Parts: sequence; structure tokens; C-alpha cells
Amino acid sequence: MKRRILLAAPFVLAALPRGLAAQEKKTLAFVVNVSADFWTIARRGIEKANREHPEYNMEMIVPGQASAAEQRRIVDELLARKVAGIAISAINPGNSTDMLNRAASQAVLFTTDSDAPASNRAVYIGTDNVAAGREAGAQIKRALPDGGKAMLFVGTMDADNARERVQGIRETLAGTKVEIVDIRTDESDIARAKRNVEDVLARYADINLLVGLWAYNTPQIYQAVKGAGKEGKVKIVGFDEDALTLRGVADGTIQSTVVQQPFEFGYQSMVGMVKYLNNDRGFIPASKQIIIPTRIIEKSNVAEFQGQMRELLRGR
Amino acid sequence: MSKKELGLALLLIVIGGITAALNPLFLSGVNVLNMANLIGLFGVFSIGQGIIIITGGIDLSVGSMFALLGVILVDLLVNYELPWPLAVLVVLAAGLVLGLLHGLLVTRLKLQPFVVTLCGLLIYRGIARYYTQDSTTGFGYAGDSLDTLTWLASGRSFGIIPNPFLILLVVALVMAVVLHRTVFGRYLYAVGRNEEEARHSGINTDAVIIGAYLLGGSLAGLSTVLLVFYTSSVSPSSFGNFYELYAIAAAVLGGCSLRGGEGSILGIVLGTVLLQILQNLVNILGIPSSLNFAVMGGVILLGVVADQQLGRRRERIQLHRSQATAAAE
Repeated sequence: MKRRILLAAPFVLAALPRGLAAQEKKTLAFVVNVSADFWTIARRGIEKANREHPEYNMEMIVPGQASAAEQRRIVDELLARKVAGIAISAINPGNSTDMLNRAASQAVLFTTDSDAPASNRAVYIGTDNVAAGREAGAQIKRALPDGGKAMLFVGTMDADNARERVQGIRETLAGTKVEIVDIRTDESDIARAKRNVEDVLARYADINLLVGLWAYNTPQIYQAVKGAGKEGKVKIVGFDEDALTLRGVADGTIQSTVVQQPFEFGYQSMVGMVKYLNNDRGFIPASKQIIIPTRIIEKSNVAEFQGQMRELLRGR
Repeated sequence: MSKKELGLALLLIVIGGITAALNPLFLSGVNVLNMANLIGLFGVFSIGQGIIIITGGIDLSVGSMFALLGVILVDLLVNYELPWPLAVLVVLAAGLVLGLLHGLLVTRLKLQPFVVTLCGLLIYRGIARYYTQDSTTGFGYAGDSLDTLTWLASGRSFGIIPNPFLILLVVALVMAVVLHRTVFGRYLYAVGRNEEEARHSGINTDAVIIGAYLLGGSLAGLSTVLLVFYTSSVSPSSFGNFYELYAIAAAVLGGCSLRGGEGSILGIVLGTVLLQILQNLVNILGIPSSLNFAVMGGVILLGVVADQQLGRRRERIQLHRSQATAAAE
């Protein structure tokens, strides 16, 4: 560990002059909502964009806490630093219009991952979460052709992407014999995410399917189901590409997972902002939304996808 | 068992009874064993917290310590491929070092424990996030070389009993002997009750306080290993968030006074059991998850108020009796 700390010291020093150099180059910032592997993949996309456009200084900023207040502070500081462009995954887009508009008046503003249609953002680049929910709904229908009981797990339900995914799932399941028993939340406490699953398995002997709506939910479902020895008996449909989720898909415990393409969020946001700054706005559609489609990862394509992910996450 | 512990045990039985009456599955083998596992996970570091509280201190940094030591543990095992006994030893030692640091800052620089550990909370969380560049670390792509450690930290012995629960039993037993049967234990209470007086009566109070933080740090290190293997992944920004409050709540429920000088190991363990039952019953009774914290807060408040009122009634009765005997004489 000592070695590691010694190793870290030059990084700290190296991080300092970067801020100074930023004075000359134009800076494009990518502000995320919370720290997650999802954003590590997006970071790789940003790095690719930066290699193509070395005349810009591109950075990703991760808030200390996933709160709208913290994000607002970050945006204010970025504006004070006079950055040229901001791509942001707004934590509370509905109530952050003022902050977003202030940013839009002083820099190029894109939204990514979670949209804020009421604001003056130039464009949204990301997933359509209702559509992603419908995809998951279709997977649930496939897993339970004769109907059954499903339980949903998520961090908090006050996040837009959680609500939209649930909306998509409900739309698809309306009129089928699949019943959504409940949605259990864990306030982003991973240990609680696992205990929620354990408790559900203990309480409902007749539960047929569990759905993990956020990246960390699905691996905890996977582990709890394995721990209870109910592989195969209880089906699992998930979201995102946690390593354990992919392992579960590979061994058949998880039927499938709906993945977004964060690499594209990072890459396209950065390249888009560069174009926008060069007054090339042809890439923005009339709807002001560039929807990056989701993919379904199941047993047939999981091995290849695992390889890609390992490649993207390596050497951080 | 003191009156306080008896009261807490009674509260446990009442709440458990009501829950079981509403849904008998509460007492099903699977559920009880799941709960035992979680009691083990949360009990170990609550005992550490309790011992620090008994000396009149507090440790707000445990949650962040889990994140920092957790990412180090995963890194050592997965990326450095260190043999697991060595990696676990490093994490335990790191917990000890952080405890020592807290103890030294509190005793030598005379800083308030609240401030020292609040800074720890912020610093360790920050380092954990920087160290991992804000990405979740886990055993997802790890091989099967960790089977032994996985079993030790999250497996089950004798076919059914979760190992974290057994570890808690051992830790509780050892700490109960240390706290209630040794001179060091007596000193911990003495320092908590009145540090000045303890020093004047010849106790090396600094050493006693540092000792408490060392115990707290090493138990936090041990808990890290258990927690990491419970979730198999550590996201540095959220792992262990607020866990110090679970520990403080368990200690206070169990009869520790935040002013120091009071508390027992049995009480802290019972407090942990109550907290875990409260979280479990929310799920088992199908109470909306959003009410989880409200249920926990409500019952804790109820318990503390009842304890206070009963305590005052006992005092009044005793007063009456002594007055009555005085009058009779």
C-alpha cells in the first residue's frame, strides 16, 4: 500500500499544472451525476474525442455527492472559469432550468444521459429511458410467457431515469398476466440493495422475476438469488453492464440486460460541442434529441461484449 | 443483564412478536439467517464505535474508512493479486493505523474527537474516490482464487450459520471480557466518566483513549473485509455512507451515553439486532421502502423516550421508598 501511495504522489502533482494550461486551450467539461463505471466508459469516449481534437482541453467532473446543489456549484465554477462548453447529466433537470439556462447563455450547453427539455440546451445526447424500459418490458414478457409476479429494484424513485424506465416497463406489461408486485428502493446503499433482494426472496415464495433498474442493482440480485439457491427458478432481467451482471448473463442466471452506450455519450457530446463551437450545427435534429439506442445483451452475444468492456475499463 | 438491556430485549421481543404475527415468514429460517448475517456485518464495527463512545469520544469516519480500505482490499486482491491472508492483514493494519492517527490527534493535539473523525470522514472518502478515479471496483472479472476468503467472510458454517455472525460472537465475547473483566476496561469507563479525575488517580488516560481508537480502527478494518464480500463490489462514493450513524444508533440504543462512561457490549449487540430487525420488517411487511428511515427513527425515538420515562419512574419510586423508610425511622 505504501508503494501505491508513493505512486499516487506524482499524480497529484501532475494534476496541478493542468489547470494552469487550461487558460490557453478552450475547455469542454462533461459533468456527471455520480461516480460509476458507466461514466468510466464515457470517459474513454471523451478521451477518444480528445485525441481527435487535441486543441481542446476535455475533462470529466464527478460530483462528491449526487445532489443538485453540488452540481450547481460545479456548473457555477465552470462558468467562472469561462469554459467553452458543458455537457451535463442533470440530477434534477425539472427544477434546474435556471441553472442550465445560465450555463447555456455563457457556454455551449448539451445535456446527456438525463435530458432537460424545458431548458435552452442545444441538444440532448443519450438514451431514451422510456424506450429502454419498453425493451426491458419485452424481455420480461419473453421470460414469463405465461405471466407471473415481478419485483423491481432501484436506488431511488425520485430519479427521472428510474421513473421513465418503470413507465416503459409498465406500458409494455399492461394487459399481460405479468404483475409488478412492488418497487423496493435502497437509497444507493449497495448492502441494502442486496438485503432488499434477500428479504423479497424470503417473503415471496412465488416470485418469478426480479428486475434491477440501476447498474448496481442487477449484480446484487444475481448474488442474492445465487445465495438462496434459486438460480433458474427466479428469472432476472437487468440494466447496464456491471462485470457481475455480465457474468450472470454468461452463466444463464440472468436472462438479459439492457445496456446503454455511455462511450457514445462521451464521444458524441465532445465531438458535437466542437462542431457547435465551429458553427457547424447541421448534426442537431429538429427534435434537439440525439437518441443513442440501447442494446440487449444475452447469452448469445455476452462473450464478445464482455471482451469489449474489459478493454474499455482496463488501465485506469 | 442491566435494566437497560432488559428493556431493550423486551422491545426486541415486542417488535419481533408483532412482525411475526403480521407475517409469520419473519421467523422463517431463511429470513432469520439472513438477518443474523447482517447483524454480524453491522455488529462488529458497532462494538468498536461503542467502545470509543464509552471513553467519551466518537468516530464519524467509519463509513469512509470502509470505502477507502474496501477499494484497497479489492485492488490488492484483484489487480496486485496478493495472497489473500496478506491482503487482509494489510487492511487490518491500515485500520489500526487510522485508529492510531485518530487517537494521537485526540490525545496529543487535544482535538475534539468529533472534529478529528469528521475530517477523517471527508478525507478517506476523497482519497478512496481519487484512488479509483471514481469507478466501482469489484470482483466481477476476478478469478476463483478467492474462494477461501469468500467463504470465510461471507460463507456459512455448519451448513447454515453465516460466518459474519460467528465472527461477531467471537468479537463480542472477547470485547466483553476486555471491557467488563480487565483493568483496561475499567479505565475505559473511568476516562469516559471523568477524564480529569481519572488522570489524577494515576491512569494514563492518553494511552487508554488511544487504545479505544485502536480497537475501533481494527474492528472497522475487519468489518471492511466482511462488507466487501457481502456486496462483492465497492463504489467509492457511496460504499458505507452513513454507516457510522448505524453504529452510533446501535450504541446509543444499547445504553451507551454520548457523554461517555456508560454502555455494555451486550447492549450494543442488542441495539444492532434491533436496527437490523427494523430494516428487515420494512421489507417483510411490505411497508414502502421510502418509509424505511422513518420507521427506524420512529422506533428508536420511542425506545429512548420509554427508557427515559421508566428510568425516572424508577427513581421516583426509589425516592418514595427511601423517604418512607426515613419517615418510619
